[in-house]
Amino acid sequence: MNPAIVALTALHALTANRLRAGLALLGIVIGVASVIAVVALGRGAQESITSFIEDLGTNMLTVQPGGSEEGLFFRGFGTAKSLTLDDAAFLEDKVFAPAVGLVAPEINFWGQASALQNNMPIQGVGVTSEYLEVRNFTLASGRNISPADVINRTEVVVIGSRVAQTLYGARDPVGAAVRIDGREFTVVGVLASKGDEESGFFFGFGNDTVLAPITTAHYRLNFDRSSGGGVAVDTIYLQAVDETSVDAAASQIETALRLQHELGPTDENDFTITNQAEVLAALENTGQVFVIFLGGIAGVSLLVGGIGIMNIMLVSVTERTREIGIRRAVGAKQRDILLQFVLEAVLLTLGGGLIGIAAGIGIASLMNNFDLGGEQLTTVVSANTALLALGVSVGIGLIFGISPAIRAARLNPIEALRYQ
Amino acid sequence: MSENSVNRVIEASGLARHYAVGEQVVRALDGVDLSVERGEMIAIMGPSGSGKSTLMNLLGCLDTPTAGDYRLNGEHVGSASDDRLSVLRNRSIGFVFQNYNLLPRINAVGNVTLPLHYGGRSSGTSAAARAALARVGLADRAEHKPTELSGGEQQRVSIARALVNEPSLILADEPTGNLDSVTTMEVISTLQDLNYRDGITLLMVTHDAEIANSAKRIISFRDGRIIEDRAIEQVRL
Ligand SMILES: Nc1ncnc2c1ncn2[C@@H]1O[C@H](COP(=O)(O)OP(=O)(O)OP(=O)(O)O)[C@@H](O)[C@H]1O
Ligand SMILES: [Mg+2]
Repeated sequence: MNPAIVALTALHALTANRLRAGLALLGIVIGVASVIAVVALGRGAQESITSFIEDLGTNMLTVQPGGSEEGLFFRGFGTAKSLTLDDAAFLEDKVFAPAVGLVAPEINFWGQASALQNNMPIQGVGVTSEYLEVRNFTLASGRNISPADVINRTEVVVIGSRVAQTLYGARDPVGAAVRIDGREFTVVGVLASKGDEESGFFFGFGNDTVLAPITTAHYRLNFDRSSGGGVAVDTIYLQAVDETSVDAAASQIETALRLQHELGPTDENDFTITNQAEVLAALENTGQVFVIFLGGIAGVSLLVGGIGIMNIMLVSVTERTREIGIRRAVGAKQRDILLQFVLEAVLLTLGGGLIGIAAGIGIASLMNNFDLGGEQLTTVVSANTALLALGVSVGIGLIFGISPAIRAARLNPIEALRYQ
Repeated sequence: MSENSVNRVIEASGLARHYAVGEQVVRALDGVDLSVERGEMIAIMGPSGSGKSTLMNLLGCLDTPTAGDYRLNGEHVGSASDDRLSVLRNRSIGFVFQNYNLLPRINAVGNVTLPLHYGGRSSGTSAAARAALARVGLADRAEHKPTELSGGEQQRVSIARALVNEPSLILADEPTGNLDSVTTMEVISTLQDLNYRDGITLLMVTHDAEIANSAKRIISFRDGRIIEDRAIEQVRL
């Protein structure tokens, strides 16, 4: 029998029972749409993480106090105060660490900033003049924290764009006063807005930041002393001189710090060096697992949709037993019947798949740029996912349609004709 | 092959069909010898349960015999595959059932086209179907669905479906069993006309002696065997 006619016959049978076909189709539509939407969301998150980290540059290294046993993402939050401003200065030494370029130590502090009648919580960072370049910040107006500010513990700050907006509105903050935890500072610069547009979701920070000279932060705002008595820092950011010397820089940093900390040959490192490329790889890996996990959950609904298809096809075969008998009596071969019912199932899932892809893309684009309390969702629909979902839904039609179709094809013609 | 066997549509010997029902064996057909020449019109009679439908199913390649030999147009059917049986049903046989067995959702042309499609024909099918419908006097009912036709009209659509592939044999199992006397005459005269004008070989099961008299030969059954086989003077309707 001509395949086009088989397809027409199958289509005809489906349209004969629209409500039932529609409900069976809905299962596939929901399954495919949720796979597409969820994977798009996962990819969006993954891409914003990746672009954030790539923004920082893959030749960046970080050193944090404490051993590596605390784990990749939680170290540095412990109580160890083994890293000091002197360590940072030492790492700038070209003799001990020739592969290291810029060095930018930071101290974190949290506080409440107020100016005019406004106030807001801020993320404070004590920095040196290298910080902006190492962390890829740019100034919108005013000047950077200078080496002199660090030496003199000047009470000046550079503020993030949201801080400027919140505290000063449309006014120019440069030269204005700001109180942080009751102490008065002068605003000398404003950072260019960063993150919201391109890296949204996870890392919109920078805009709530207030940068102060690291010494000012230490002596005026934060009084953590290192175990050795120096100025404790939370993180030291370092740039390798180029991307190929990241590994060399890491080992030079390790040697230099072990020397500086007077560690014996059997002592464990009391600091941890992290390579940005490693973090990127780890995050991408985590992101992928996340996408696969969510996609898998959504895939289960696709499977449930497939079971719905099988159910509908089994009912259809039973209901149309006599039709099968008639077709067999006028010359249909077993494979003609098989093809008719398989095609019916595949048409159903193909239709469901196409509608599901359209719905999934629709949902993904509705979620894209959706404001989630200041953070924006990003979704990325890939053609691959859509094609895969379509392939899977056709496959589901085949897998779940074949057994009812075999049942139909194997019916005894005489018994089928007698069926009431 | 002898000169005679070329004109022989059906050649059956010792044909038997037994059913095992629990411990018991039902001998629905119990050794039937039958030979049918091209162009014959035969009425098959007998009490209920005597094996008439069983024979029709065997002759129509819908069923295979438990024992015996059946040759359709000289071809041994007993050893044929399921696919071959399908082809034989499609090409060589036309069925007319008591309850019409039309597909309810498609119209008369669609129903009549069905054997053409399964025969692999893809062009001119609609024209051929319409010609078959015209042949049974239903040219003006081509677009009607079965539910929009009377019982007699539905049965004539099924006759059109049976003859559309120009089979060598039409098998009608109580074709007028569901019809009143007026439409019965319409259907029987249509069948008789096919046999008389087109020389189509016809086997027809009936309980009605008057209808049986429209044939040229009457075969009577009892308990799965032929008890009488005689030629008669045909009554033209
Ligand atoms: N599938 C089956 N299983 C068991 N017995 C069967 C089966 N089909 C038919 N029979 C038996 O075979 C015998 C012949 O049946 P058949 O249908 O051929 O009779 P018939 O002559 O056509 O009767 P009627 O005039 O009532 O149509 C009956 O006794 C019937 O019960
Ligand atoms: Mg019968």
